[in-house]
Amino acid sequence: MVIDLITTIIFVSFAFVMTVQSVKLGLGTWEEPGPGFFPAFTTIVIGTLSLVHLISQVRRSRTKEKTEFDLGPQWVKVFGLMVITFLYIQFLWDKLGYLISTTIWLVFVFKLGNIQSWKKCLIISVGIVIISYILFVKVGQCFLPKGILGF
Amino acid sequence: MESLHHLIFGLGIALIPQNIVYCFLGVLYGTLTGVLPGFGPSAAIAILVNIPGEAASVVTCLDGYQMAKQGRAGPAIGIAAFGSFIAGIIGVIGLMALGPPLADFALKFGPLEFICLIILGLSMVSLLSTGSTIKALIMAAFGLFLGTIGVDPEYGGFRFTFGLTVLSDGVGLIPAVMGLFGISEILLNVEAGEGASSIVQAKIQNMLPSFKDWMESKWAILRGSLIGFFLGLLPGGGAMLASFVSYTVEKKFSKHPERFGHGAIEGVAGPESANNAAAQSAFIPLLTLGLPSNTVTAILLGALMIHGVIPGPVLISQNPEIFWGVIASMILGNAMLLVLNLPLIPLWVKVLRIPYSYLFPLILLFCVVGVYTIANNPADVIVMLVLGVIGYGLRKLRYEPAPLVLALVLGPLFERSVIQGLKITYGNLWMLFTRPICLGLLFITVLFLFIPYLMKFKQKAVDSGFKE
Repeated sequence: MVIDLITTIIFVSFAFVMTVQSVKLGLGTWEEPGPGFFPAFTTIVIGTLSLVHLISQVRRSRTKEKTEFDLGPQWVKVFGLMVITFLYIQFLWDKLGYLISTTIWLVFVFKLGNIQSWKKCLIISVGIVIISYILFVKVGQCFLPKGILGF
Repeated sequence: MESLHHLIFGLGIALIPQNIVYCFLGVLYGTLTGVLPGFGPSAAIAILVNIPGEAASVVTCLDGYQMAKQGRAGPAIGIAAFGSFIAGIIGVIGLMALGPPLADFALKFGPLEFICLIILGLSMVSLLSTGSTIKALIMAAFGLFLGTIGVDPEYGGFRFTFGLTVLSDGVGLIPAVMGLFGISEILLNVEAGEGASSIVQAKIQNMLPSFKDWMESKWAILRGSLIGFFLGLLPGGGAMLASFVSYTVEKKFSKHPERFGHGAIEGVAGPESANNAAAQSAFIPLLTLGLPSNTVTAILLGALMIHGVIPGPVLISQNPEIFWGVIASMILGNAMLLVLNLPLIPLWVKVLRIPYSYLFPLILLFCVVGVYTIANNPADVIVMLVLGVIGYGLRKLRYEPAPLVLALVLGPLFERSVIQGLKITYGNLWMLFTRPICLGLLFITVLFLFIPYLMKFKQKAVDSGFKE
């Protein structure tokens, strides 16, 4: 319930900030709308709807009606998965190339997925990378970064 | 009768062995690329792992994935394949019979008509959602806003990029769809600890649609085909709107709308039929007027011009073998697609039995590579990941991504139409009410929005009459 309220307040704040940004872009006139005209329309709608939702949530909180929000048992893994995927794309992908960077990434992803043995993770990762390389690059003619291996 | 002769002539062209081989290779390549998440649209992937390859497959995910979790992936994929085939045949018949007059009708759609059409599309947002209507509307408005990020189409300046080069082209549709649906689904399943289990816990039932499934889907397929055929004529977002409109129509007409979003087969049959019918009718403006209505027909136009063929009003008389050959090849291609896809259904369904701890890294890899290959830009993948996290958070808070995607698709066209409409009417949008097509679309919108309340009011009046 509290998180729902916070989210709605975030939406209201977002709408306010973006409306100000849209006005700065220039609203123009009805006959000659400016670049900020349509974005301002959308952010005003977001803000209005969010305010209506906020009011209804406040009224609901008075009746002590609860809405559920809970984090699952493995929420840390969600965080970990996104961090390692981000690091893989941002720092390894272009520098090491598809083959090496994806192998390293997949090993950690499989480990996050509860596959116990590092050796098993490595073998499966290498297999998947080789098959996917053939599928994407050789058959699909996609361009993937070559990195330090040169292919 | 004359059209039948022409069609037989076209079949004679299409059935030349060399052309059959090319047709088959095209169908095969399309199927292979389509099944890879991120590489193309595929009903199978949308149904099995909740990853739409394009905006038009988003609504297939809503009920198709739920059917897969209930052990009914086979009927879902099967009805999508059959529905697409039937819609394709209806589309081809429509193309033959109604092509030129419909093309003229499509030309009558100007900015004001598009404003009304998109208002109709956006009014269906509440029906896309199974939860709170106000949250669905907030998502739709947010999607419209996201569509404004990037270069302003009128003035050419950057909007809301905050200096980030990755946003200079706006929020890409494919990264948005993959992130909001695919990545968020993976995160939710990982969080729930789905590692050792597979996606489907229930017993996997029939591989093909049953008689009951067909009875439930037959009107959805027919309605979807007609909706897709007419909307596919319109340039721009018409074809993408087709699957959304079909879904909302089915939900509206259903005697049990509460089933939608929880595995209603009509929610798969209708949109998939609409999608394929729209793909056929998109050829009408190209072949009869020489005007491409989407990227595919634009590429085809270029290919025809390279070979010295100019599509347009005289194509039928000057190059009848091209016109009727294309139509006949559509029939052939639809049949080949059905024959190719049906035997693969048991194979697809087996994917659901793979433990999720092995499956989700594969899905994630395909999403990453699929999005990267759009423009060979890792920044697109970062956008997908960010939207994936946002989608995960939104879904935890019961905000659904489907309305956001619909609005993101329609937003740029809506903005362009509104700006052009205001300019040509000198700020007087009341002129909408003076144009017959606009009035018709607005009337349909009002009917759509208010008929359920009128029916409830009428029912209450009848019930109170009985009580007295």
